[in-house]
Amino acid sequence: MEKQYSQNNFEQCTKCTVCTVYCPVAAVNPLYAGPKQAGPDSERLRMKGAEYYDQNLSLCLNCKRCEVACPSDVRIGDIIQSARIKYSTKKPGLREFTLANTDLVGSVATLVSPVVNATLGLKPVRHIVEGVMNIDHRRIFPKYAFGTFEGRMKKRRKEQAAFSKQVAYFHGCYVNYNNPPLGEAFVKVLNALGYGVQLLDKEKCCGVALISNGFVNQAKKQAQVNLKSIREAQNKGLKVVATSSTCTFTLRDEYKHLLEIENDDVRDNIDLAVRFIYNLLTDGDVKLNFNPDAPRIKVAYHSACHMERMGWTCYSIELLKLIPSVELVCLESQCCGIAGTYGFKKENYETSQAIGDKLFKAIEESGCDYVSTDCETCKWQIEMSTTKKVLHPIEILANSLS
Amino acid sequence: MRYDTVIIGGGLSALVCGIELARGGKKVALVAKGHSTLHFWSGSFSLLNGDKSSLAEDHPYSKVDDAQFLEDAYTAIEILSVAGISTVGSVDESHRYITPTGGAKSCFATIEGMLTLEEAKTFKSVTLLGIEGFLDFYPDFIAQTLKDLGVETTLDHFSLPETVIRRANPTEMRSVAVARALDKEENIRALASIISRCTTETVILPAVLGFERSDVWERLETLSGKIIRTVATMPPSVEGIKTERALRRVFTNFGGTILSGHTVECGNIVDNCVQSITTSKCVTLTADNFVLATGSFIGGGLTSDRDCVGESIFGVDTLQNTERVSRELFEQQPFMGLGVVTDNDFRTLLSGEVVDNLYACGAVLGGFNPVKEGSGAGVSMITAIEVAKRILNR
Repeated sequence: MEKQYSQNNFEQCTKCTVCTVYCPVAAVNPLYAGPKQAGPDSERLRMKGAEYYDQNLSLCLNCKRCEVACPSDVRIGDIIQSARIKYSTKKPGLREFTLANTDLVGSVATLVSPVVNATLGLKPVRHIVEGVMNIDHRRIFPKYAFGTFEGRMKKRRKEQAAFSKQVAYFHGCYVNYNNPPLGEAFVKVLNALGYGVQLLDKEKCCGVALISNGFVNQAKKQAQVNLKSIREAQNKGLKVVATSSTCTFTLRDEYKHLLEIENDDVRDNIDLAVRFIYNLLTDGDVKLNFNPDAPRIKVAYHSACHMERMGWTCYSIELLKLIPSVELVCLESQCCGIAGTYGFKKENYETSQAIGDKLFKAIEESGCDYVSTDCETCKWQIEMSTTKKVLHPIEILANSLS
Repeated sequence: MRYDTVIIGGGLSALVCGIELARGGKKVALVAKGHSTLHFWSGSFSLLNGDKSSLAEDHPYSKVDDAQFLEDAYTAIEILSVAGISTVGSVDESHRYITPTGGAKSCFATIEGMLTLEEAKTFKSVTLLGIEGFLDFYPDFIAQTLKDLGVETTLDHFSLPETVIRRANPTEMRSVAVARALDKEENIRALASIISRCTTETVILPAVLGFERSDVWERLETLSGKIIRTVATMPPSVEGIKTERALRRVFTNFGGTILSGHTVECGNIVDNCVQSITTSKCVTLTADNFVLATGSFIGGGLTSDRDCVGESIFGVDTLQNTERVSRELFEQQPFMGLGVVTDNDFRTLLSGEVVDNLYACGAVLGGFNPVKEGSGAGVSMITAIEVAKRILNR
């Protein structure tokens, strides 16, 4: 836990401005005040009255890079997001509803995914979407899967229950509705390590998109559902493991810091896939059998913002280094610009692409075969903006096994 | 997680030590809390004002013999050049750099393109070009220094459309924001044309050239046809940030791993040997050797209360002095010399006993006064190189 010297965390700020140096928005948009002013500086004023709240704060991506940069443990990103939750009078509209309700949209889309994918791929349709919803027409939507990951896992329940050791998997919306093969790769690796994979009794979207789009009450309800399932899993002695860095970060940190929901009792039991697997491989007596004939690939690892904030990029990096067929390059850690649903919004598109520009160039110059990252929205952004395909470290690991 | 060596810290000393170990073939992790004091750096590497032989016995430099000391200083410059940081000056002959308030301080290497006092003397006349609304650069102070040298100095200032926009948030009109604006080709061209209209052959700017690009200074010189030099601004230091980034890149390219945003919460010492450390992000690290490069008070490596100055992670032994403060503000302040004590191999002590695998380097060390001696960067780099050598020789 970070050090707390004062009841008001913002008072720990020494005004060194290091956070502003690393703010991806301040770097490209001179109209954004930057994290120091938007966070700790103005918080002092907001304590006096709500009229000091500035709509300018909605430019914040919630990437939390300011918090990683801060040498004084100020939770700058949390201060800004909490202020938005508390004071913003802007009401979310249809666009926010559609972007934030991943479960609802995903459930429908996976039923008719060929139609949805084909339609959203059409340029005229994207222009209509822009006209009606203010979602930028240049933004490419992630494809929906035909049928959900949960549906696929139902058929494998018996097979997975046969393993003596078990984990509970928090798959997240992306694996469930868009990329079930990533979930299957996770199951493959865990099975190879002697673990069966089961799902939580009830899993809702972690709520990250609800929080950033202004649906805080709904986010709180979903958080309670998830925490109930996680507690049940914990009572059964199961670790809860997630492949998505942002889901993990939301469950572990944002629930408490932004939604003010107590999760101390389960926080340590929620783990990230790469960390769980790396620890098993290095602490335990389990081993993975790598395929000696696996083709050699050059992988460039991109550190997603919330992965950086959790402090766990080292696990992905070290895990990838363990794979004999992988040559790894670590890209300089920086934001890709999409920040979940932020980059979908028409007014943010230019900022989003300007932020990612340096990363896109670094990726092209790296000469890699694949980019790897733990975050699904970074994947969408990088695949849309570069020539490279993006794989989750777990997918690369699964592909390299015998 | 297991590494050969774990370095606690993310500043100049930690990075130099990490680079030396990583290129020596070790598997190294660097655990950094936030960004480092390189963000407050001048752009020059100081070594020592005066003579090394006159230093006290507990000074970190006294643990290094003269030949090694010289070799380490050369290694320091070599590391910078590997990182793509070009410097002027030499180990054998010191020169002086100009501080943001117009002072002159001794050093052995200065970032290429920055003004040194020795070079300033060779100019007959210069234009000192400030930026409107940029409050972290004081042309009047610098002009006075130049005038004292007999250099004819003209003061002027400029603004560009983007710097005018930045002034809407006056407190955020900082060096990095200006440097980012000057990374853009249209702004480089606009500034070059302003510079070319200056009447003198030499133009001096605040050190805000090239944040993402490395060619801004050369481009401005070519486009304007003038000699351009820069002088350090108040923090954040553009040159310092670029240096930190470049050193991080080299460290990572040699296979090192950086854990960013981690505060080390506790260390486990058994039988005078560090077994493991645990960070604020629930990461436990084990290693053969550990290096304490946590900095002094500002970096958080040292803590102080009414009774004593302590080391913040392991509580290893520190120099103590009952007289911590001198009433004369500009005199040598005794507290500056407080810090971690080590044996001759830079290993720390716990209740007088050597901790076999815990080394210390950089500003966390006691026995030196970086401000009075002008030894801050030198101690950081030289002790880091010495610690790396000792670990590699184990």
